[in-house]
Amino acid sequence: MLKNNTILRLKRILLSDKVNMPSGLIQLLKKDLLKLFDSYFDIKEESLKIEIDSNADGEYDVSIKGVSERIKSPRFMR
Amino acid sequence: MGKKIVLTSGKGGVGKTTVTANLGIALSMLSKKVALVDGDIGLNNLDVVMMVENKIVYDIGDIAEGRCRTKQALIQDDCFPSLFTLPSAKTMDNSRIPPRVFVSIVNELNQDFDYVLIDCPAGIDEGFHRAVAGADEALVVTTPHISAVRDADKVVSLLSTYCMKAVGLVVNRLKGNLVTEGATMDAPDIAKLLRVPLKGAIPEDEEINLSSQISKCKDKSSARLAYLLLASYVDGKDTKVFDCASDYRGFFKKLQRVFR
Ligand SMILES: Nc1ncnc2c1ncn2[C@@H]1O[C@H](COP(=O)(O)OP(=O)(O)OP(=O)(O)O)[C@@H](O)[C@H]1O
Ligand SMILES: [Mg+2]
Repeated sequence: MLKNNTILRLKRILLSDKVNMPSGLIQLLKKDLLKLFDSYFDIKEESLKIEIDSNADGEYDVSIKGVSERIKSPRFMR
Repeated sequence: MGKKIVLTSGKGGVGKTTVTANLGIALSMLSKKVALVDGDIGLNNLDVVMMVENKIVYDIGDIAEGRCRTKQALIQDDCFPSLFTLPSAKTMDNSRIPPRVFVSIVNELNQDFDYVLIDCPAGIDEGFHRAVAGADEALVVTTPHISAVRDADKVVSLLSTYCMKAVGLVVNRLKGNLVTEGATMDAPDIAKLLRVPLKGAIPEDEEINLSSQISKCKDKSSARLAYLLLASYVDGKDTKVFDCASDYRGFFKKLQRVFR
């Protein structure tokens, strides 16, 4: 159906609008993730890469990648 | 104390002014006392849609600058005595009505009316801020077109930075035949994309386009029914939304078309 293509197209457009906004979705997520990761890893801020894409079903593919030189001992392991 | 609702869209020409006027008419058909405020300073046309442009003595600019009291600028509707229009300042430069003054005028109206509906200008700059600052609820108006929905999404994000009690969606100019064929998105599809509750769906309607007002449309017109449903949703009486495809669906409707 034509409308399903329109919906998919719109999802992509709305996603890229949110991602590319100044201090948009990705920037906010990055800030929060760095806080979270910090209790588990020494993570290099510039190595943290976040990608959001929408797939053929109109769902969002979220991938997060980072580089760490050291794993911290989480609380329960102490 | 009533409700102060801003009708906004981001994109221009999607029907904010038409929806403001007709929601006002429909609410007054439900015996509510309604004030329509033209927030589109300088590019006003709510007065024209309400057909009161010849009756303007004072406008919002005169209130802002102390030349008249708020009540003196209100224009009563010819058909609906509980419906009033507050015209915007025609010649006044936008910056002469600061948000603070606009908000206090709306609050004053809110004392006397069940509903204050604010017609927001297109765009998301100063005029948007002023109109939105005056409201505690928002209705985002869009058409099924991609560019209109995209702008509506931006407006929804922006609205989340204001303290709105409720944000709802009105999809205007739906073409029932195209919805039935699956060629265009239906109102619930758009509400789902924008993650905003759907409060109204208004069909494309020639009569609306010509006369602007549902009160001038035929009694059984679907636009009239759609606006009455929107009004009862807004008024908390019902949560039904007009089904724009209903005329084009179903066995009996098909028979009717064949035998007409
Ligand atoms: N349901 C409808 N069916 C047919 N025509 C419509 C419908 N709703 C609005 N229109 C027409 O669309 C045009 C634009 O409407 P309107 O002026 O209300 O939009 P607006 O969003 O207020 O525009 P602006 O951004 O310039 O203030 C008008 O000519 C109006 O008659
Ligand atoms: Mg308008």
